[in-house]
Amino acid sequence: MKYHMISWMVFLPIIGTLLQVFLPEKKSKWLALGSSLAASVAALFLVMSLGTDSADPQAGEVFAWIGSYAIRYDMAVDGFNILVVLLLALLFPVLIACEWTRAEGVKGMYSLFLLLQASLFGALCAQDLFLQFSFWGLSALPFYFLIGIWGGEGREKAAFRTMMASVVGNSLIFAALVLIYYSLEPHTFSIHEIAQGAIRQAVVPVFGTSVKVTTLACLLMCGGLALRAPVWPFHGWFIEAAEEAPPSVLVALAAGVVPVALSLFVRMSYCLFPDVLRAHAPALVLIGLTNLFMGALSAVAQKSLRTLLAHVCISELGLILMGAGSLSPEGLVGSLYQVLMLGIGLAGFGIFLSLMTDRVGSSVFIGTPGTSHKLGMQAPTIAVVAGVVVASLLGFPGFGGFVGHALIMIGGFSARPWSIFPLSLSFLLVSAALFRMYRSIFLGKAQVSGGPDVSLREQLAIVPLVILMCVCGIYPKPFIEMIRPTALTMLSLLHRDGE
Amino acid sequence: MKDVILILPEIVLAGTFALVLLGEMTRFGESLHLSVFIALAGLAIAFIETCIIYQVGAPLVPIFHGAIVVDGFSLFFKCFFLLLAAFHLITLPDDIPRARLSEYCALTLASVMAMILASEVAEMFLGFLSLLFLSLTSFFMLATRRQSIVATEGSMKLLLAHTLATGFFLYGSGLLFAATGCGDITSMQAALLAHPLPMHVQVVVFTLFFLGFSAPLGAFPFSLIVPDILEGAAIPTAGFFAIGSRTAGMAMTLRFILGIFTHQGDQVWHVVGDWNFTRLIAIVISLTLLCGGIMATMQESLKRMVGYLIVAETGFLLIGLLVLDKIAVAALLYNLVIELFALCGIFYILAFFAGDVRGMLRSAPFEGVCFVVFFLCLVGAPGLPGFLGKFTLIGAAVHHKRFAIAGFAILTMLLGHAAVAKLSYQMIGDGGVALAPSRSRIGVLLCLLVPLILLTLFSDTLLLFASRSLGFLGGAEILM
Repeated sequence: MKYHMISWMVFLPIIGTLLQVFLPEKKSKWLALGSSLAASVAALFLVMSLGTDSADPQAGEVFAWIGSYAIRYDMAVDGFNILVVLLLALLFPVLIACEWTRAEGVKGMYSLFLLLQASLFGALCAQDLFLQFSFWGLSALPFYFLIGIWGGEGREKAAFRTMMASVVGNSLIFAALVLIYYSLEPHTFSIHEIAQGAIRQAVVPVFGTSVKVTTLACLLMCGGLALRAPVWPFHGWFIEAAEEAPPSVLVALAAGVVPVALSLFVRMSYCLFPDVLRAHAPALVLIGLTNLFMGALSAVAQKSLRTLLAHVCISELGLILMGAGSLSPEGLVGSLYQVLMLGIGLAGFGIFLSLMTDRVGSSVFIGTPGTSHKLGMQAPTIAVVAGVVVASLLGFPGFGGFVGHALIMIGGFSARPWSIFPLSLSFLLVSAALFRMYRSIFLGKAQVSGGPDVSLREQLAIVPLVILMCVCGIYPKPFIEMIRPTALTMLSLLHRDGE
Repeated sequence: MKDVILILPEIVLAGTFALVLLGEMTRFGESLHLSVFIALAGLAIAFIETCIIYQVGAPLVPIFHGAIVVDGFSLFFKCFFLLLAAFHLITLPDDIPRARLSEYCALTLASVMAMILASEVAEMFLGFLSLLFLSLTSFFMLATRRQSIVATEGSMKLLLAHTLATGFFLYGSGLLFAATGCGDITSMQAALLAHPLPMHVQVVVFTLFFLGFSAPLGAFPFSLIVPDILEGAAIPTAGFFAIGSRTAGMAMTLRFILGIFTHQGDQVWHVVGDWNFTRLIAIVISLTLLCGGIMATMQESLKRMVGYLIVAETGFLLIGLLVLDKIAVAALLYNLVIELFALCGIFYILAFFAGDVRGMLRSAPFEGVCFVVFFLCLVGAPGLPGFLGKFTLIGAAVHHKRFAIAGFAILTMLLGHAAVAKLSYQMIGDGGVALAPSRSRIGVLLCLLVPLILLTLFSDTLLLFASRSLGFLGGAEILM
């Protein structure tokens, strides 16, 4: 593409970060919002201009970067990443707006958000494994500072654990990267070249036996992504981060990093390791169901909005894994669509958490006297927003989550009918957890003063998310059209290779 | 005359050294100290001359009857040491009394000359002398805080370890001289190719040689004393020693081991003789990596932690030698440059905080973020240039089927990150040293940070520069 929209999208936030050094603190919030919005405009331009009749990567930009190692600056958008690009484009300006009134260390916080936005965009669009890993690895760094500096009482431990989970995850991915690169002749990091299939023949000696490179690399890469995603049982750090991180950072983690990790997982498994995916699809469904059930079961026991959000996130990502493992068109399309809806839903939940924390000073909604707020009449807008978010997360008809849930259930049922039963049970548990929370906070007679309803700034932050939740539920066609060609092409290649 | 022209940078350095000493001897209580400026001017002139020689193209011939080789390789290291010394003089330690400033400048210049000599020496006896010169200058520099018991202990340990190692080198050289009848590395290689040594002699000679280089390198078993040495010294001096002495040792190791015990293939070197010495190097690398990585995570003292991280770095660098591959050696040089900036930054910030980084992210956020970035760069965090460096070395190990070494290296990377996370853990919260904002400090840090960022974007340029600098890798015919 002659306008280099992807590069603008990735580097505008970095330029914004660098400029933060030279501007006074008063102007830094405008600069941060401006550069984030500019990147989002570039992202929206990419989304609008994506051709829906082709599965090929579009808006590609390819330059040699480190020629000695065949590493290229290779960026493109396709059905695998376009909806997450849209998600991040909406998410980061909203996050910056959420931190508008923060008084302490704003320049640092905005810089880190912008760096995070750039690195996630980069990881998402990179078509070269080295480039992708560089961006993905970089995205771990801001969280350490964001949690460590602006977090709650136990921020040191939470920041440390978050960093260690990222480091271990990145080490596994790094090992996979080295293995893939040196298993191919000529060496390459290009996802498209690796996807041609030469790697499937390669073997590597492990303790005297020959193991297929694809199997080992897939295991390492999935392990690495599972740590960052965070897939059960590697989710301990995530719960702790959820308890200590500021609400906006928690949203960035749950609605930014998790969808990107899932998107990368789907891309890697379908493009690079189709043979492994075909062989181990039932295991993937089982992992998905375990996450779905464990997340849902834990959600029921939560008394804080923060940990509730974290467990709902774990549960929902299980649903996406299940869809990806169904190897059916409905399941895969539903997964890719649900990644967007998961991000939007969790972002909405996070903003609701932020509003509640600002007003009542705590994220605990049940358990101790005075925490049962009954704010429905005092803050009706917040009640409506929370209602829409809950409805979308639970997949109520007319809201975005419904389409994703329905497609994954259809795909899952056609591939593995038994999976519907644990899936339905998990939905019931999540519904119980979310409705209990809603009842405790909004319904009934008010016990404590909940403060004012949403301000204009807060409305501006919420409205785009609520609109998208509703639009995606009522008219999902344009979004599905964006992902369908890529999903169908990948599935047909997967099944053709299997025959 | 040609010989003299090619060592003009060294002559300038020696002249500057003499001038600084003269200034010290004739000083009589004047308040104005010109020694730092004179030393910096000398380093600048030497640097420009080195760049001109590099640009014109080194003739790749041995000079002074084969004792010294001025090639791309030695010029690369010359630039490296001159930059390091200039940075060191700009950021001199505060605890050096003004009356002893000239002495310290003279010692720094002498150290640089020792390091440069180590990188270009190609003859056994001169090699022995350069190792001694390096040991003595390092000892004197580290002992500048002689009122401190820890510093004296550290410098004495260094002297003993280096003396022992130099003794090993001398024995190895003696055996080799007796077997081949010649003293320069080119003739020795030719002699070994014509008449390989018996296997047991080869084992003894190589082991003695490698032990000789292990002390300046900080490789196992000498890695165990590196943190003790660094702990006692003034922080900037420790930084200068940790980067300079180790790099000089690496240059000498590469030239001697590749020049004598291998012969040039197309892309790789082949071992001369029946015994594959890479097994020994692999064991040393594994122990160095694990010793550095594990011990770094266990340290309470920041200086000791940095010391062990540096030990682990030595393990990484030795992978470049292990695989005997041109690309890997170029990657080794690339890593050295990254380390130069990252370690200079770490020691520079450390000097201000005197090892106490508690609450640094609140009290000095810019310095705190730079500190973490330099550390992450050192341990190879993705997105930073150190990562490409680690990838090139670990990748080289995988490429040559050294999977165990690659596994150890990845584990060490992980441990390095854990050590940095542990360090960063202390930086959060309150307390510690309160530091007044300083523009000069921010300027110095930007001078280190910006090149690192540029190296991320233009890694290929540095990699190509490193590859081009491997002039001596052309083999015997080029050296002749």
